[in-house]
Amino acid sequence: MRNLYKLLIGLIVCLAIPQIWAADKYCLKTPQSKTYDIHIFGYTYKDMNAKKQMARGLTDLFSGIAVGDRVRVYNHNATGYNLTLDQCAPGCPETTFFENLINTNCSTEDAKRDRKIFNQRFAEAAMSDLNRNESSYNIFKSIQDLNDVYKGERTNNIVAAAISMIPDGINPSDPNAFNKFFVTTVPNLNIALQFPPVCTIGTSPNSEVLKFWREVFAIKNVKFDFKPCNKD
Amino acid sequence: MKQTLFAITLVFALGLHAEEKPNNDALFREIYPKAVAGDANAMFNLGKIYLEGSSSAGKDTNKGLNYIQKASAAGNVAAMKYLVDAYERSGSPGALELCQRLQKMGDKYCANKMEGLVEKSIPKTASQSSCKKLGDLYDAGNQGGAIKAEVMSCVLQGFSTTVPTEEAINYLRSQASSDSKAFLRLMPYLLKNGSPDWDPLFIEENLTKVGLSFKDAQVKEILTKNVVTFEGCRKMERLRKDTLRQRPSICRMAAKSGDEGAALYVGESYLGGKDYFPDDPYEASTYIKDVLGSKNPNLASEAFILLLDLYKKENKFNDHFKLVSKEIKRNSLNSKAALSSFSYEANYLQKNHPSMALEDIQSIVDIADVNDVSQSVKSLIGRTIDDIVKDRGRMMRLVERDSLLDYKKRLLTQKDLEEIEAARQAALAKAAETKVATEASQPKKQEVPVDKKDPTLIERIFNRN
Repeated sequence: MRNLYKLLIGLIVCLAIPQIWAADKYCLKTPQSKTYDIHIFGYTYKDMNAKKQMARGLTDLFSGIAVGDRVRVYNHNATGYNLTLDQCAPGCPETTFFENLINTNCSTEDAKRDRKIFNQRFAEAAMSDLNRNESSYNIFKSIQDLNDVYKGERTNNIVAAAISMIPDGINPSDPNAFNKFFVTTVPNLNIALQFPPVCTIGTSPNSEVLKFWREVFAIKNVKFDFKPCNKD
Repeated sequence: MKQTLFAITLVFALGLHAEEKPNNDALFREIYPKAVAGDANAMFNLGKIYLEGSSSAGKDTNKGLNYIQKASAAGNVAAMKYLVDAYERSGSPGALELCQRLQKMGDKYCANKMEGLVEKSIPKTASQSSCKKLGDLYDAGNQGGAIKAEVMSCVLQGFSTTVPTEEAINYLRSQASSDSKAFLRLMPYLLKNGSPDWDPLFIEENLTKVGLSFKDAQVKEILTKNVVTFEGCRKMERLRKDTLRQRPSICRMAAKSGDEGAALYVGESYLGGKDYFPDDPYEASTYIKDVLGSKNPNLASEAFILLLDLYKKENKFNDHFKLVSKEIKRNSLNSKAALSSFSYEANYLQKNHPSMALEDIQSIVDIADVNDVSQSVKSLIGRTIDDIVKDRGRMMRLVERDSLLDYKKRLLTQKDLEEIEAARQAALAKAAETKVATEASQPKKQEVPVDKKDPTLIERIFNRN
């Protein structure tokens, strides 16, 4: 597990441009800048491969974050969620030589340092709950929690969810297990979902998992297309 | 041996396992989304899975029925048929409604059930709405016996105009001679609207013929509703000629349905023939006997006295004595009346003892001896004992004779004995007088020689041969 943690940090650090840290000073309010809402349901990963897959997915997503983009990391657990990171990616905006001479607000050196710290914070926030093995969880509650962050409101943010989507205790390649899970849970399922568009990170690629959720979301009239983040 | 046992157990266990319900989880999962989306067929199949408990969701009758009902409401014929059977088993009125829907759809699934379903769904009391439903069924071509009869009944009660009244009456009358239900349907109409010539009589005469009893709850209810009660009988003028047949009939029906007052009145009226009741002791006794066991002591006592009078009038000694002795022995509330009526037994004994069984004689004497019978009755019986003893002579055993004579001593007073003695002396004197007079008027007989004895019986028989 420790290796996994190192891997993620390593990847992020390699990609990073070291800059001096400053709270919101890197936020860009241009139409091109984006806000990333990254929801991490670390407790839904019980399999090491799945955890690695999720870490890789997060790294991919992170690599796409541009200077000035806002990043919010929500760490979900059994009782709710914590906003563990809410910052803009440090870095000096690209400028011409003359612009650079005139604009002295951004120091490349500081930005590099800040970026390094930012990367570290992101890695800590992203991986903090990954090793916490909660005894059991309710996958439907996790989905509902994700939904409840937005409460049906529209958002232009990029919403990414790192969630395995595997129901607790179910072998994702066993169709009978899914049948049984479906039969015993779905008819009694009382969830109201109205997501903004969500892309997924580290979601089980197993066809049974996808089939299950497509059925559930179809029954509940929920738009959730399981589009992986970074795959436009 | 152990191995064999193990094998048997294993086979048995496998057999049991094989009989377990199939796991329909996959089917459930496949059809559930469709059912939620309103697919009637899926709803029906899902309902069945719930009802059978053949999935991991387990058995859930409420959910199962709910889905099947939804499927049925959505027009799924299989679901409708399934519910018809289920409702039919549970006696729910929903079965009929579904059958009507199936019928409208041209399905003949209920063709053989309709009659029974209608019968079950008919409310006890007809109403405008229930009759409308029946009329609709009838008009839809369901004209089997039960439906037809109910519709006719609705017509007679004024709740329906599906057929003309005359047709309804004729139909029910044709059925009423053999069908108790048709009879019950016809009854209220006949009692309420029938012609005075025959209607109450028709009911009185035919009700038991179709297997009904005047004491049936349903019959009583109809009779009461139509004032066929003792009160109704009382209200009719006793001597009106245009109701001279109906009135007794109504009184009789009230009596037969359990009104003891009416029964007593009817019995009394038959006993002697009054208020247009014929003089008919047999009928009288039938009605009076019904009241003998009444819980009302006054009525029971009146019935007892009436019955004794009837037996006296009819000279039915055995019945009278049986009734009297029973009540005296029981020391019931009627025992006093029984004892005061005991003079009938004493007089009967005096006049008819030669033809009576000695046991009956002894019973009468015994009652007179033990109980509080009036002295005049005791004296009469005591005096009769001499006649009985004399009449029966040697036919009585010594013990029997002595027993009777003992009774006599106890029954008679000193005065009685003196009177008897005086009468005996007078009779002897009269006999002596008569003998002297006879001897004086007749010539003297020749004396028979001493040695010529009469032959014995054996000698006579011997000589004959």
